Amino acid sequence: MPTVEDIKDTDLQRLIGNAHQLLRSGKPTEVVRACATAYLQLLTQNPDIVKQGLQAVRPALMWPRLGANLSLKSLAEGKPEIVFERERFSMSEAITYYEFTLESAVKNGI
Amino acid sequence: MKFGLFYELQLPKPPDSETWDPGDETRIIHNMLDQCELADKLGFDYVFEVEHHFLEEYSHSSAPELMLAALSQRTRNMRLGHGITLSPPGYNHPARTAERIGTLDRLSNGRVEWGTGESSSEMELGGFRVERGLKKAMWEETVREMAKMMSSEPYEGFDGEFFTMPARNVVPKPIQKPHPPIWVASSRRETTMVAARMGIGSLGFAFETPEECGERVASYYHLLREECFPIGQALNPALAVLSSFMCAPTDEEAIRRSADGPGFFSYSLGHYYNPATGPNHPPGRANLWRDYSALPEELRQGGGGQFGGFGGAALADRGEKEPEDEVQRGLWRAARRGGSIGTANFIRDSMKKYEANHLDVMVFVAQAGNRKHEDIMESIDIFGRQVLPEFKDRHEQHRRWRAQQLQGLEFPVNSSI
Repeated sequence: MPTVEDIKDTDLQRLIGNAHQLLRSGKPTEVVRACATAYLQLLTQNPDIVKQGLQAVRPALMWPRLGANLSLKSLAEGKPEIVFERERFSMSEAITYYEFTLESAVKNGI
Repeated sequence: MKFGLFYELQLPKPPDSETWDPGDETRIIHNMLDQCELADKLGFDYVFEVEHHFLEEYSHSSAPELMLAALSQRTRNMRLGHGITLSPPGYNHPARTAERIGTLDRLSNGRVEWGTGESSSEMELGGFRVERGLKKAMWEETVREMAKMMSSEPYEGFDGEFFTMPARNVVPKPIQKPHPPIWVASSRRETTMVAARMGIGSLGFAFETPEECGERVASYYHLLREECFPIGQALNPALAVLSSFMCAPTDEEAIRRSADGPGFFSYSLGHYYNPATGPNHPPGRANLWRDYSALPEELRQGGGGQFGGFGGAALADRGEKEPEDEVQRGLWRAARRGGSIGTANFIRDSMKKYEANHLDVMVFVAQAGNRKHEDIMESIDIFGRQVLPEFKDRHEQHRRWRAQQLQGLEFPVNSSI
């Protein structure tokens, strides 16, 4: 089971740790926003993930499309962006985004 | 560990025809009833049946509530599982689902397992005009409210984001209190973690290995204890996984009888769920079985490469290397032999590994592709007589382990494990 403590990058660990605390507090919309911030940092600081993903889509780029959507155009332009199409998110959506972000960081050894 | 059967009601078209023979659908429906009746007599614990719409050949199970109602009269002990009911209101109004679950629970004397989910095929989402990006939020809102409908008298009404209804008393209420055990379909690890944090069972569709199960079980019970915001009025702590199943007197015979079941299961599933092919399916005009049969043998055994469009990486990952993405990997494994196609001894050894990893339920996919009813019946019979009893004998140990995991939880539990 990947945990926040498995993340090596201290900045990213702090961001995802913040998302985890928000999740434990039952604040789903804040969780999604915190995960989006963390995930964009992950992509910005690890351009190889984007580069490889644009050649053949990899799991690390399969950010869930549940209303906070990763812009493919922004990836191609080298400036990853997440577009919020909704203002509120449910708990199950927040958990999905949180688990994806956490696993992406840990699986990529970041 | 307990055991169940899983039904999609697959029905490949005849290769030389654009449609099925007149009696084909009737035949598979009655075959399923016969298979479940036998399984019930032999002590299988569960049947789970899907709800899918418009996925011709892959699944003709669009009205599982009717099949399970029929089974309630032909079985005595087996738990009757929706695997799953489609929860967004566009598919089923929440009050109608609550009424059907209540009625089925009465018909079966309290044997319902209430699986929930959303589906992600464009044929279904588009067919019912369910917006893909909102389906998970819809699932959460409706499941929470349906659990209240089944347990509140009267239901106080709801003014939500996705449906609205005034106060009504939703009847009949289920026998099981406060409501039958809730599950959610999980084809990704993330959803299993949703299940844990919402206090419901995870019906895993990723064909996980015993080792992966072990990791998930540990994570699941940890989150259930530490970070749970229950969606229902009672917890259903439970993990189930699927496995392709064919038991026969010899390994060679099991593989022969398994035929193209796993390959076609994976191919047709991939066809509908792959974003490149699913939305372009021509209703009533395709013959998936013919397309599948025309593939070279090595491609058929890999599900025909249908998982290719899920992430693009798939084509490179085809062959003997497992795909990186979990959904692709599940399809890849579904097409292969796995641990439940072989002799009773082969399957017993395989199941012991899951048991050692504290899996709650193993659900077998027996009806798939062009497999023969007689072979499925014999498979159920051999397993039921030669393997199942010893797992039943050991189940009390698992119950004790579960009780330790659940110690200290203050929320009520309604689970059939």
